[in-house]
Amino acid sequence: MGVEIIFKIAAIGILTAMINTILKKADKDEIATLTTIAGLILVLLIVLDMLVQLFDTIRALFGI
Amino acid sequence: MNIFQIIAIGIISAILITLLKETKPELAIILGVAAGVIIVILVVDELYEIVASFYEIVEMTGIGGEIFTTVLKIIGIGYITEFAANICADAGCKSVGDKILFAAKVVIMILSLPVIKGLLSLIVEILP
Repeated sequence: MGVEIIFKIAAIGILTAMINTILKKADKDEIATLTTIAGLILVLLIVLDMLVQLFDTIRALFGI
Repeated sequence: MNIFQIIAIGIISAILITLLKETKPELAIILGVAAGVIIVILVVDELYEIVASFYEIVEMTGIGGEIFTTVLKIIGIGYITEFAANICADAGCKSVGDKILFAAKVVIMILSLPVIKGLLSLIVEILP
């Protein structure tokens, strides 16, 4: 829990951007959009998991 | 809780967000959410101690425990909705954030109604 998650997300973002440009050069645009969506879903899963953990701790803490 | 670690995380994620902004704007928003969550989780342990000491103060002074739990709920709701409203503002849709804040005000008003009623009934009793 710390900086490595932020670096992981940034790496995924940069990777998907690169893969996108490569695939676009090889004019396979539909696969490019697929990789963008895949990268987005992967990052969303990581962050949603952290959000759930945060909301549970806040709920337990404040008794909401 | 090391304040320098938090500052470092904040600056690094700010830089990475601007880096991601032009190629992948949606990932920049998610990175902002992740940075916010990490910083808050790092500080939550201290929050536990603060709330525990508040509970001791309430028991020591004999203030109504029920009132204090309501106040605690209101603080928690206020914090979480402000967290979500800021994320919406970062993402560029400030109107959604304002709707969340409006809903939070309604919920807080509902929570505080019994406390207000108790206070007013107390005042009515005191007045001749």
